[in-house]
Amino acid sequence: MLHYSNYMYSLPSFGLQETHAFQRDMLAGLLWVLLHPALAFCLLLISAGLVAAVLDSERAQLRAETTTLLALGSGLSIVCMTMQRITHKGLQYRLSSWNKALHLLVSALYKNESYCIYFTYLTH
Amino acid sequence: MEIWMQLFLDLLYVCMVSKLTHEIVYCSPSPALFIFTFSILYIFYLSRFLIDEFCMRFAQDDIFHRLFYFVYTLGTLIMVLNSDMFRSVGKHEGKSYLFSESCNVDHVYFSGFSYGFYITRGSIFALYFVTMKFDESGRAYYQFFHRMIFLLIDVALFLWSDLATESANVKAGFIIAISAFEIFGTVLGVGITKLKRSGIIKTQFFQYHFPVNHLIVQARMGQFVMLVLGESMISLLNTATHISGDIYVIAIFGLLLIYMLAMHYYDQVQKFEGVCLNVTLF
Repeated sequence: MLHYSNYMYSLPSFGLQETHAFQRDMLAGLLWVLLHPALAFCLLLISAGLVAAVLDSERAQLRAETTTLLALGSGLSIVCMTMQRITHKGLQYRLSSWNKALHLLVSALYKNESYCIYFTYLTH
Repeated sequence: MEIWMQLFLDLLYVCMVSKLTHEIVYCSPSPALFIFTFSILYIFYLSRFLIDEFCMRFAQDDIFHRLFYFVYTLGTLIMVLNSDMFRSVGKHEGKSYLFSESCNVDHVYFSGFSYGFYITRGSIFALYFVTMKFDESGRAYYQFFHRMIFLLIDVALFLWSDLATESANVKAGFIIAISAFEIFGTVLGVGITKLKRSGIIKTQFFQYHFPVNHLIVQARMGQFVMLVLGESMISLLNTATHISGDIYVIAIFGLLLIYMLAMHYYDQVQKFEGVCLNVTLF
């Protein structure tokens, strides 16, 4: 609702070294807030996947749904966290040079791929 | 009001996350299930944030605020009690139903959830109403009047969905529509505020005189993520019925996954300034 906008007005930094999304821009603060339920849902998928993984291992019957839940949850949660990280300094800062853009791309891809590969290996 | 009571309220959200997790596990996975679960989660997230935000700005330690905070907690409890409404009743007992149930919205649970929704929204409405009424400067009125309107629209939408139809699919659609309406309201509010600052809209509304401490907001968001991570830990350690080598492997690597996610989100290992060896008498 509209109430999110109320606290996204620029506030003093209280001596922090790094600017938070709240202090930088109103839309960035809004995005940071709205990404939290999305992130929570992705973590929820991981919880469900872990329950299913334990139950599957007890019956030695591995299901495709388990892999899907874990891979989706871990991959999308990294995407949400990366987007939240971007809101602190802005996409323009991240894309201001090739080095920064490449670092962002490689780190996001590496983390996602590593989780997906790991869980595919674990559950099959 | 101390933050301890807000942490107490989080206990209910722990139960909510647990219920939603089991809903995903036992229902047959589908896009409809995921969208519906996310909508429920978003409604809870908003409920939590509404009371947090009020407490950060206006809460007083008096009988009125304590009473309505309890009423809000009660409403949240009723919502959590009925939060696993997307289900097939009577089939949750056996683990053989993993991913196999054909779930849909249960009418009884939906009605119970709606009662909790009315109570939480009604109590937050009363809290803001009193704040606005006794704020002599009128600033609270300009800042929060639109929020009262949106609260009323939310309640009206839920009432409509509760009374107008018996169809489970339509009820599920209403839940999704209500959460989408709230997201739309958020984006709309920021857009209007930007237009006002640029001078295109000239109005007394959307002037912000009661900011909150963003450090507390960050802490509360971090606690929200922490309680969802806590559910992952419970799922990992509390599901197995016996111990075997496979369980050890899953537990250790599951812990590694959760630990890495937490490190990625919190991004630091904190060192507290007042190290215990320096400040305690022991």
